[in-house]
Amino acid sequence: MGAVVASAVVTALAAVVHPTPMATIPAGEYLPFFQASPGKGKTRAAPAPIWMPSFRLDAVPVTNGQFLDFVREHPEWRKSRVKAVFADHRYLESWRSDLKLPDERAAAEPVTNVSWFAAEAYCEAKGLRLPTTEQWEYAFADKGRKQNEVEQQSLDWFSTPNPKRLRAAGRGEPNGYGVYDMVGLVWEWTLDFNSFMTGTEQRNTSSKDDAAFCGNALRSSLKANYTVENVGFRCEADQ
Amino acid sequence: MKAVSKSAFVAAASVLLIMPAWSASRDENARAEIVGTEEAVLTDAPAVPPAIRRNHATKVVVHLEVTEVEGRLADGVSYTFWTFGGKVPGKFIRVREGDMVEMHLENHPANKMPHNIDLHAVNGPGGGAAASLTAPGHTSVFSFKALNPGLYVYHCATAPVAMHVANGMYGLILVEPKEGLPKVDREFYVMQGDFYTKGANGEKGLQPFSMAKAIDEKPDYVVFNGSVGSTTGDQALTANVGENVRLYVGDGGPNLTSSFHVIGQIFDTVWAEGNMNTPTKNVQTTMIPAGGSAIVDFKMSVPGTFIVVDHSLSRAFNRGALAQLKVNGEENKSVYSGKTSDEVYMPEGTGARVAEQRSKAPPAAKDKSERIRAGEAVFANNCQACHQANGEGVANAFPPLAKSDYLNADKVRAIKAVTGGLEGKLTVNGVAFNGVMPAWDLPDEDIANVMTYIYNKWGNSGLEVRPADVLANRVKQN
Repeated sequence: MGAVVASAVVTALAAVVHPTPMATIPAGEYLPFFQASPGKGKTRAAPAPIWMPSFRLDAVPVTNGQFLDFVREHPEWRKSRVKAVFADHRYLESWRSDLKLPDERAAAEPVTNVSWFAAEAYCEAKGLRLPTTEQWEYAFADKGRKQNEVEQQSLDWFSTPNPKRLRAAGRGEPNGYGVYDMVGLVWEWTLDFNSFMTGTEQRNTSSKDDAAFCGNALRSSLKANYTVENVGFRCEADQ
Repeated sequence: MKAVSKSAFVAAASVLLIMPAWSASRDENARAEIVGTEEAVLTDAPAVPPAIRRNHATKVVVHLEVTEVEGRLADGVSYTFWTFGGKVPGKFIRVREGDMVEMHLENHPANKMPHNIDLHAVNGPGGGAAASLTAPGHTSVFSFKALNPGLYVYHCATAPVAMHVANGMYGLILVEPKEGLPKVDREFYVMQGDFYTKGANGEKGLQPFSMAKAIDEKPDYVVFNGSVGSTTGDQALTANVGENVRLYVGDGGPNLTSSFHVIGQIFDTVWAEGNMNTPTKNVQTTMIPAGGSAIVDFKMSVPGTFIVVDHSLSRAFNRGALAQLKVNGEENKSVYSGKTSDEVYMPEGTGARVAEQRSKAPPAAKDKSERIRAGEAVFANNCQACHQANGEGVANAFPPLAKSDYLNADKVRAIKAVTGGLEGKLTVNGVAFNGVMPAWDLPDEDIANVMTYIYNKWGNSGLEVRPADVLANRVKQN
């Protein structure tokens, strides 16, 4: 009973302090993008789909404006106060100072140069958390879309240099679940970004060398206190 | 007795000379003492860093910055290149065997992707790949000892590997033997690579990478030094008659090997696969594996423009694997005479048949549409190989016929060009060409048909050329 109450309170609280609408992702079956190699001399059984329970996901990535509100309330996450073990020296690099964005436009643009620790702290402060990699992929490969379409969307984005300036979040077309900017704006932190198995020498695997690997390669190159110019995040809530 | 001992000494000396002095053993190089530190001189193709004059091993610090940049792949076609140092191929690195190389891989903060480096000059797992996986905005450092002399490819090995390499992430590192290489007058850096674009060859605009074509190993472009025409015209390699030229050639792939050849030039010496121990002499074409290299030396005996190709020729003439080496100096007619005469060839017994064939004119076309139809076959047999089925020609080699200002401006001039041939500088649609078209010894009817075909295709003016026009204006051959 207590747990139910607590969760109801958290949901209500999240609705108050996290104004971005969250999309409801329906339950369903899901095949992870990366399929591990079966090992030498063995053939692979048809990969078994995973059952994904329903969850809610921020419809757009977290913006500079939202992150500014967060650091106002949580001074320990301001540029001048953050500990190096939680965020490297490029943390919020484009911000002019602790509470000053580069300009007005920046408020609507996705926040980047945030570490995993900072992103997770933001989500937790709102009773949420970062999505798992499986949840993120499941929401990206939305209903009815084929694997190769999803892959080509990623490749097209990889084939375009980072723009001088990111556009505002949530301005493109949403996908089938009503989620914006999954691929095409910024990379996004996931809760378990560092759980990927192959490590830094990715040619050991005999798995297909495809677009899913780009994300995995990036994840392998990151540590939780790294901040990168094109890595942002969004939050997740279990139903 | 004295004479005998002297000749024995000479024999011993010549054995020493013949024995390649190349390279200390790997163990010796592993033990070589490191004296001092220096920053590596890095160059963009086709330049090569200066030869190493040190007689000891040192620590060489290499700062290689990875950037993702949009650039020109062909005329009107741009591509997002991923680079070691801002250009394709990556910076040329030159060290000496026994050196300790300290590699700093700097992934620019504005980059989208993580990157790393696998140098084939490294003895160690992954060639440095695992030690150098670097997120955007970070720098990785690792070091290795250059144990084996040779010319080695380096490349990015971040997954998907074929994509990173296909985007241009490769370059060469020369580990010079202790003794150095034979002195030459000019050294150049040339590297081949294959590119896979979403649109077909020639499709304009920013072209994204096509994973499907890369997996099928069906490139749209095969180029030297990162783009079609990178090393032609004003950017051609240059040398003078009498000079010895050395090319450090690599093949980055990711997929195709190179049948490396310089038209009109025999390689005096080839260090096949960049190995320093077994130079071979007098080679026409040398095979370069994907992820491999060769060093080729040759002396320029006569002036002229020498075309550098992958002798898998569709790659050269249709996909871009073509560079130029322009050589100035005195003619040497005893080495190469040039054309000394051009006379009608009348083989015994066949002259009559040729004459008969010539006299037998092709059936006369009744109207313009028949003329166009007949002209299509003439085009396919005589013109298409150079000017291409789509009339677009080949960049830097054969001018376009499509929407050709040269063609549409003057019908009579065009008839004279086809019947009399063309040679030398020519500007078509604002692009300069400098080549040769032979004179076409075809009946008036054929010339009229093919020209009408061309004038009615690809956005040209649509006029008709009649056999009488050809007869009145043709350039008479002998």
